[in-house]
Amino acid sequence: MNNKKTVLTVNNVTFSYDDKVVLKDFSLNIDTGSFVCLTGESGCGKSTLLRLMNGLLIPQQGDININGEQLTLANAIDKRRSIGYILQEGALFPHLTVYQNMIYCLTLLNMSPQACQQRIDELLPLVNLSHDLLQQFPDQLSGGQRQRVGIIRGIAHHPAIVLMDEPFSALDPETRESLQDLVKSIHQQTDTTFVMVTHSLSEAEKLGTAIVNM
Amino acid sequence: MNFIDRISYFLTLFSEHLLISFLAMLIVTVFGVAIGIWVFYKPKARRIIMPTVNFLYTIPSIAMFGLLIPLVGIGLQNALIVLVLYGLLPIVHNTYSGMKEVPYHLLDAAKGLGSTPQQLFRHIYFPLALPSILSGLRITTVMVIALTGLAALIGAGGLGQAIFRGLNTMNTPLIVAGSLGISLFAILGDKFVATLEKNNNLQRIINRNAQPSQKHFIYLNLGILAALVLMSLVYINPFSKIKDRVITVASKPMSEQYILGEIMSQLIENQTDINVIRQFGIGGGTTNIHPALLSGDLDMYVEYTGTAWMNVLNQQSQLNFEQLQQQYQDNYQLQWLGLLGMNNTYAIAIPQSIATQKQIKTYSDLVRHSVAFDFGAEFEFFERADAYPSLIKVYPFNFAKLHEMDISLRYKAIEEGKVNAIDAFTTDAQIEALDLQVLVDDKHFFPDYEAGIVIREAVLQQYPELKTVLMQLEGKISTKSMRKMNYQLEVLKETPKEIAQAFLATLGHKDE
Repeated sequence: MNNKKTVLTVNNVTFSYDDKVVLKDFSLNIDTGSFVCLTGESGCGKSTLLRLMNGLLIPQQGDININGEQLTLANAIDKRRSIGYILQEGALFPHLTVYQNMIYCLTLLNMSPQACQQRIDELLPLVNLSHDLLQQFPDQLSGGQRQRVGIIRGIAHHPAIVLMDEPFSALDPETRESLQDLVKSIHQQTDTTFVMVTHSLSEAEKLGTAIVNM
Repeated sequence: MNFIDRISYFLTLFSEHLLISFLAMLIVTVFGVAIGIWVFYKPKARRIIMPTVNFLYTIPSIAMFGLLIPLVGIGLQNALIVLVLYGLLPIVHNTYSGMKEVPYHLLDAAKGLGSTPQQLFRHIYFPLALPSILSGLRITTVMVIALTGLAALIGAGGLGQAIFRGLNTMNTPLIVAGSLGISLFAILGDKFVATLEKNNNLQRIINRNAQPSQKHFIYLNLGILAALVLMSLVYINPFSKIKDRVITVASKPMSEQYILGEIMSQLIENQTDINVIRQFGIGGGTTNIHPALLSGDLDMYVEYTGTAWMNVLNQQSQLNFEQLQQQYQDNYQLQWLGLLGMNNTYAIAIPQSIATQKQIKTYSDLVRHSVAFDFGAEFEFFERADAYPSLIKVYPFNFAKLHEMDISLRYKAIEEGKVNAIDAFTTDAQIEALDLQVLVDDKHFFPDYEAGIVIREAVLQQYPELKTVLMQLEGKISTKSMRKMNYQLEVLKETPKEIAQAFLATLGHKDE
């Protein structure tokens, strides 16, 4: 396609934990609407890169730009609100109901209850979850259901970019496949950019429009 | 004490206990949680606060009550400070560790989704630390309720008063009732906090995802607690206490002191319009009452000349009552209002039957017959330089056998015939109960411990009529009649109130 706009750039980033250098002089451009898969052996820095992208970590050298604006400690929280974040097994908050988990980002943005309800009504059919589950707690759900809730939580606030950290690794093969299909269809239906960390090359090949082997 | 009196006595103690522990819990929860959160965010503060909180917990509570007396005096304030300082540890620790143990991946998710630090605290840290905080609160609740039992020692009231009164006057039912009351109370307190913990009830309510039944259950429990607190407040009505025309009468934790305190109180109530607050059984006796008189927390009590001379004024010389009075006035602005007539000093007692048979009346008589006696006394009596070692220099006793035993066992030993002479205090009820003869110290070896009323000069200036009223007691309570009254209390189980009433009736001062 032509005229692809870059939504996120990583410029010559170096990051180390204490003495251990994890990323050295690393650069990457991510286009709007792409699905980038970061793969590589464990310890190669792919999860670190993801955490650098939403400002949970700040690079020691180089910079990260989102929509042309540099990500800093000062604006990180602000920037994160336009980024979705989906973790392994959903990382749902155990003390909140399924519904409260789904609208977590909307709550942070002080959205009205009606608007929240409307947004969830929109999303529920997309992930194949029934209304009955909304008042349940995460520990009452199956692993697959939890991750579906995690996906809604990650995209409910219309983020421009969605970051996923090994979202399907703890699931059984069947559930994993159906969720991969789900994410793929969400990606196709929206203009959202996805960045996914995965150690499975086949998963990367199935979902990614670009694969970065680190 | 009749049944109604008993009930109202215990209702008062229960109400006091509830209010003291509730107030302490309220303060300790707010401060404990706040400190726990603070040290979680400030590692520097943590390094100072945590060891301090641990250290406070290791100070014996009785010592802490005592240590605070010079700073805040006796009473509620002192009790609250001690309870709060003790209660802090479990809450601070559990708040801190509850927050520290919030799983990393949840924090990562919440931060990654754009929570501000405040939102992170409100939505994640606090609700997830809540179960840990509540289990700390449970420990603190039980501890505070139990510890409130000790508050009676410093005149703060509560169910502990029944225990101490029972201990000091050998009234076992009173000890049992007080102890059971506190246990029951602690169990109820624990159950109450447990309802907040159960099914994450409180957590759900805070997160606004509780079932209606959960909400109703918690609100019902809170309602019951609020009602109890309110009823206690109404029952005790601490705000109605008339601030003027009030005098606080204190007593040491001994049988005769409860009786003497009650006699003075009733006398004042019967003959003046001054209101009396009774602060009986203050733990530590003179050590804590004397400073409280100086600070004005207490107004008057019965003291013994020997104690005042040696322990308060630190005099080594022969006791001189005029000098004693003068020094009390000059140094402390306290007045001795004459002496009551009784002398509660060390004595040697033998069974009445033997005394009559062998015609033994004095210590010197006993010296002549001492080979026929087994003498029992507490360890201290044999050890103290001013007791047995000096005694035998003045009176060369040659007892057949000496028995060292615990102070509480002396009367048991003479009752069972294991010994036939013991050391005693001259007003001990057991002398009466066991029909013992107190021998006369004919060479005046033991110092006098004559009882007299000590009162703040400022109080006498405020209520000049008190002097005349209290002076009526001068010389009216002999050692023998005190011993009889102790017997009525400890053996016949009459109450100080009844004994005082009967005594005042003989003086012609009974209630109209």
